[in-house]
Formats: sequence, C-alpha cells, structure tokens
Amino acid sequence: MIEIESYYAKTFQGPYLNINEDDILVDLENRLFAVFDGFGGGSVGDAAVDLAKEKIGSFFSKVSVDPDATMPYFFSPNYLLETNCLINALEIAHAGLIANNKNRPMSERAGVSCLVGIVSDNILSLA
Amino acid sequence: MNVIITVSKNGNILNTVELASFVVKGQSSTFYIGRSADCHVILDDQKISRQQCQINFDGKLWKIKNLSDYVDVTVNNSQIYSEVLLSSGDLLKIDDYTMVFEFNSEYGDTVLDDSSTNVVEDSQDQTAVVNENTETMHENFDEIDNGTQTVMEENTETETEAVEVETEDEPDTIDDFDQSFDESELTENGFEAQEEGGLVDAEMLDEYDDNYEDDYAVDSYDDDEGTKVLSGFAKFSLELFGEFAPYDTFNLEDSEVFIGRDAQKCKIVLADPEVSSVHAVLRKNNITCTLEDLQSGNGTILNGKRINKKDITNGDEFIIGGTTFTVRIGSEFIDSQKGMLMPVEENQIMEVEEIVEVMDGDDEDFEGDGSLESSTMSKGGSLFSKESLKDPEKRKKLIIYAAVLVALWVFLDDGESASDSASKKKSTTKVEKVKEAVKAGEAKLTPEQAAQAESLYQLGQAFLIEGKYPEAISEFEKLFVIKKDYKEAIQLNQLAKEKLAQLEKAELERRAEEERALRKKKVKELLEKAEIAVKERSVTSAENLFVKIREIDPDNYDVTNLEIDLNAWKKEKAEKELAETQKIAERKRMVDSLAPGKALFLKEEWYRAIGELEKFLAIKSMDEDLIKDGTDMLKQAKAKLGEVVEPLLGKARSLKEGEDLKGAYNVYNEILKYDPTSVEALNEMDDIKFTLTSRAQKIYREAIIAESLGLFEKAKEKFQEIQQITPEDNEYYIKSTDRLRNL
Repeated sequence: MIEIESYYAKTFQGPYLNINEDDILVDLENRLFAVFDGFGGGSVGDAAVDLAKEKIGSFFSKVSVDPDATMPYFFSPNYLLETNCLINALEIAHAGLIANNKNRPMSERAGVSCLVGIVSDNILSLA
Repeated sequence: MNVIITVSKNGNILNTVELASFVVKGQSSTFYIGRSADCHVILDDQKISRQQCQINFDGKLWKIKNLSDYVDVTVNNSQIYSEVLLSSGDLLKIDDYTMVFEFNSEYGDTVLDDSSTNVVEDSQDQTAVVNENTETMHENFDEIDNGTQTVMEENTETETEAVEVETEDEPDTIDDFDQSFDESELTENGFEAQEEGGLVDAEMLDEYDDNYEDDYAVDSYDDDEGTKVLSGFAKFSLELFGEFAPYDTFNLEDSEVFIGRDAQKCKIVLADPEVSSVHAVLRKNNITCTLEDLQSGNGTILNGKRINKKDITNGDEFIIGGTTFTVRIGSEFIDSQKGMLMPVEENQIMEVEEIVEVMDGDDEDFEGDGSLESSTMSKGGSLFSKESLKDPEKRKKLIIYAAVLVALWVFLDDGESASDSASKKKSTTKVEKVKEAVKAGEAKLTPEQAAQAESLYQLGQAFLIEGKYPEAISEFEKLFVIKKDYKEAIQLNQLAKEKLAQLEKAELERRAEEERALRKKKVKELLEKAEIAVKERSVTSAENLFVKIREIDPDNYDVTNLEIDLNAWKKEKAEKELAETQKIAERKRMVDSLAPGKALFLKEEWYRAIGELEKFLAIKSMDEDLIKDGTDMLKQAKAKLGEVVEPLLGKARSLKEGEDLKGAYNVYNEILKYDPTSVEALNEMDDIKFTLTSRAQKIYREAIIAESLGLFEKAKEKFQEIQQITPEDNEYYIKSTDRLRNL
C-alpha cells in the first residue's frame, strides 16, 4: 500500500463566471480523488457537477461497506474491485446526468468532464 | 402445474429451474431472480443485482417486476418499468442472460403435500439449485404451516426413513435387501458403513443430498412409521472410564444428552470439580452424532484436540474433566438382521484369501505327491476308455500294462523296504567308520605330539594375550597341522584373526589420520604463504598457491575467503585504474579544449586567442587550474590587444583631427586587423568612408565634366586629387585610377 504523503487541490472560479463550476472530491477513506469541470452555464453547470460528485461519491461509499454490491454497468474479473467500481461510478454519474438533461431545453443542459483516480494497494486507476 | 424457467447465457443453457413445487393453487407466492444465493433463479454475475427481478404468482397469474434501477430487464424485448404480466413462452432478458418462462396452467392437480420433491433437470449447478429449492421449500412450509413443520434436515431424514421402510418391508434375504438399495449409491454406502461396525458420518448426508432424486416418491412412506424405524437405525453408546464415571456404558437414546456436573440439567452427571455444570452436549440424529462443548471452563477434548463442535464417529475418544468417553456406534438394525446375514468379521477378506491359498497348497501337494500317479492315471484313462476296450490289440496292451503295474507295485514295495534297510545299514556302518577314524586320529596323537600341541596351544594363547596376533595365528596354524580342534584353538584363532583385523583397521585409520594431519599441515603452510601473498597483493603467486591448496584439499574454506579477498582487491584495483584512466582522459579532453586558445595566445594572435579562450571558459566543469590558466591568458591577451590597439587608436584619432581622413582610415583598418570588433574603428571608418566618398564623388563629377570639355589636364588633376583623398579600397579611387590610365 502506497502511503499518500500529501495532496493538494484547489479550484479557481476564473474571471468570467459568477459561479465556480469546478469542484474536487477527496475521499481519503476510499483513497479516491477526483476533479470535476462543469459546463453549461450559471446554476446549471455547478448543479451537474454536484450531481456527478454525489453519484460517484455515494457509489464508492456504498461499495466500501458492501464489496459484493452490484456493478450494474460493467464487471470484469480482470480488474480490481476498485477499478470496476470506478467504471461503474462514472457510468452511474453519466446515466444520472443524461436523465437529468433529458427533459430540459437545450439551453439548460449541462455536462461535466471529470478525472477520477483511485489508489488501491499500489495501483492507481484513472478514469 | 409445471413452471420451468430455462436460463441461458450467450446461447448456452446454464440451468433449468422448476418452480412448480413452491406453487399452491389459489395461494400467492413470490420468487426472485438475482445474484444472491437466496434467489430462486441465481444469475452469478456481478452486474446483476442481488435481487434483480421479482416474479409474483397471485394464485392465478404470473407477474414480473424489475427491482433494480440500473439493469434493464426486458420481456419479449420490451423494457419493463412496472409490473408486467407473464405468459408462457415469454422471453426474459437480464443483461447477458436470457430466460424462457414456461408454464402450463393446469395448476390444479398438485397440492403442497405431494410436492416436497423437486425435479431438477439438465442443471449444471444441481447441488446449489437443490439446496436453494429445499430452502425455499422450507420457507413455504413455514408460511403455509400445514402442520408438518419440516426443516431441511428433517426432510432428508424422512427421505432416509423412507428408504428404511422399504428395506424393512422385505428383509427376507440379503438379495432382496441389496435390490431395494441398488438404485442409490447412498444406501450402498450406508450399508457398507453399517457392515464396518455401524460407522456412519456426515458424508452420508451430503451424498444423500447429491443423489436426491425423485426416485423416492414421498407418498411411498408414512412419516410416523418412518420415524419409529429410524430411532433404531444407529445405536450410539458411550464407554465411560474415570474416577467420576457414573456408568461403564451409557446408551444414547435421546436426541440430546447433556453432560455436566449439574444433576438437574444433565443426563450424565460427573461429580468432577473440573467439569462445568453443563459441560457439553451430545446431539444425535439418525445417522450422525455431534459433540458440542458448551463453553465449558476446561473444554472438551476430542481425540486429543480441544473442540467446540464436531461430529463423532465410532471409536472416537473424548475427555471431559477426568472422564474418558469412548464412542461406540452400532446398528440395531444390523443386529436384528444378523441371523440372516452372512457372518462377517472384520478380516473377512483376509480369510477368504487364506482359504484360496490353502486350496492352492493342497492342490500343489496333491500334484507333487501324486504327480506320477496322476499322470499314469491320466494315461491309463486314455487306455481305459471304452474304445480301447473294444479294440482287441489295445485290450492286450492294457492287460500287459496292468500286469506290469501290479508287478511294479509289488516289486517296488519289496524293493523299497529292502533298499531302505540296506542303506540304513550302510550309513550306520559309515558313521561307525567315521567315528572310528576320529577316534583313531585322536589316538594317533603320540605323547610327543600331544606335548607339542599343548605347547603350541599355550604359546598361541600367550601370544594372543600379549596381543601378538600374527604370531598367535601362526602358532595356531601349526597346531592345526597336528590337530584340527585342539581345545579352543579354533575360537582363539578366530579371535586372534578378528583382533588382527581390528588392529590393521586401526593401523590404516592411524595412517589415514597421519596423512590427513600431514595434508592439513601442508595446507596450513600453503595457506600462510597464500595469506602473505594476498596481503602483499602478489596475485599470480597467491593464485598458484590457491591451486596447490585446492589440489590437496578441494574444499578449503580459507582459500575461498582469501580468494574472495584477493578478487575484491583485484576488482577494486581495476576500478581504480578505470577511474584513473577516465580521469586522465577527461583531463586530456580539457587540455585539448584549452589548446587552440593557448596556441593562438602563444602566436600572439590576441584577438583569436581571446575568442578561443572565451569559448573554453564557457565549457562547464573544467578543472580549476585550466580555468585559471585560461582566464589568465584571456586577461593577458586582452591587455596585449589593448596595448596594440590603444596607440593605433590614438594615432587614428589625431590623424582624423588633422583632417587626414585617408590616414585615419588606414590606421583604423589596421586596428581592425587586430581587433575586428573594435567599435570605434568600425564607426570611424564608416564615417570617414562616407565623408570621403561624398567628397570624391563631387570631385569625380567635376573631373568627368572637365574631361568631356576636353580639359584633360584639369581632369587629370581632379582624378589625382581623388586618389589622394580616398583610400585604396574606395570605388572612386579605383574609378579615377582607371580614368587616369586612359587619359
């Protein structure tokens, strides 16, 4: 198990927007680190980021208490549980966002690009 | 009713699940499809939820519901969101799994009471499914509560009971018994186990599960009767031994027997202070008996191991406090059948083998003794055949044979006795003769010889005692010439020989030891030399010594150590040399890079020297002395350059002030030869050139005009003027020179 010596994360609102559409997620218990960059504009992009963050975080906390949890989107025994979990978490967030955008006019649809990494033993899985 | 779900994945049928047994007409039941082992249809895939789908039967209709948000479930390729009605032949799809749901709606002919057997066909995971079904069955039973509160184990029990009843019904012959058990391995096993002293264990139960098929129809037995029979299926008894043992033998009849100190709670009371009030319990069902420790203070030791719960088998020993219990498992059933069964001892097979051997032996004996007889008999047999009797010639032969045989027999009889007596006589006479000869030999010893022998014997003995074994042996040899077995000469001789051999051996050992010591000494000397050689780092001599030592003593540790030392030193040396050469090469490179600057410096080409030196100084990680040299030279070169350039500059300036532009220009040009980058020289030269060119241009025009007007003298003057004021490299100087030549 690689020790995480230190970490640092910061987001910057930028000069043009009234609200910060970026976010970070650090879950030391699951050794999960993520950065989110939302887009879509005021009060939509940040909501999308919150949604994605919540979905990913909650899936990980769910799996951490129940390793036998269902991996609804993807499961390969070749990967670590954490990696499978990561893929599924992103898929869940993706599905959540799509569902969220489905019934909205084009101007109110939002998206998130994110980079999530999880450190398990000595393997870092990125997605 | 028949409800079958066929599960397949990627076109391969995984298993078929039959739900009919859980269905009761008019009653609702619920089934689950999912990953969990509790589900009726298990889909072993992480992508499937533990409870993915719920199939509801409301007594009439089948409905399906998706319980998971994530995984899509389709019925006939249309996704289901809420509860959907299922009809026979519907195609369910969950992820990669495809399920075909089939049922016929005549659900009226089955009632729960008849449905405790499950049909599992073509199932890859039979055991699992069976277990699962049984569990659910149990659940259903509980739900419905129809009086027969049945748990899985009991179920199996009753199944076994059924078998038992069948066997009990027709216990007339062993054959019958076997036949009734033929179909199932379980019963065979069971039977064998009983044969071997009623040794029954849990394996039987497991195996029973495996063989659990619908061969044993439930309606073929009656619960009550079965239980009765079963109570006597296996007889468990305990042999107690110890100070506090209340009985010698205890028959286990109840399903639970508590052992402990408390007389009110326990059946076997041990008034032993080491025993807890309720120490352990023995639980018995028809085939197994389990010993469980009830968290006692001093524990229960089964076959030398402290256990908490374990099945016990025949011959097991467990200790509670100071009392030892030996488990005996017998079977009343077998006992009752004993009269009908062939008596079987533990070593039955051995006995059979023995019998065969004995038979063989007899045969052999028979053949050996009567081989002649039998062979003649067989020959005779051919002659005695009816055909031979018919043939007159053969009949004749036969008669002759018979006569001969009779005669032979008679003769043999007489002859044998006669020859026997003769040989006996002969042998006795021989023996007598031998005895006489011996006596004669002894008697032959003259008194002198006797004295000699005695002296030889004494001498030999003395030598032997003194330890002069060769001498002793020679004396004994001499003695043997006179007499073979004089007193204990032979033994003494033997002793002497042995001693001699021992001595020789000891001698050999001593020599070997000496040799070894010698070798050791030599090795030591060589080693010392080698050590010195290694210390002095004389590699070749040391290596020679190593080889020598190795020849004498191939596995000498010291040599290895020394060699390691030497090798380490050699390696170190090589490394040092390498480093040295590297250093030298590096130095050379540095010096080389300084060389061009230095050469130019020495040639007093200051400007180029400065350039080269600056280039050298720009190279990083140079040796300090070289850098110092370089900088020194650079400084010097700069100073020298200054020395050369400064006076010229002064001259040029003064010439310029004196309006001798051409002179100044030439001086500046000279300066540029020394210092091509001299800013002042370049600027001034530019200025001068510009001024002179404009002046020369003006004069040149005037000269051309004068020439065209035919004023050649004037033109000539003008051209000469241009030549005077412009330097040689000016264009007007060159032009005017050309013109002058033409004039």
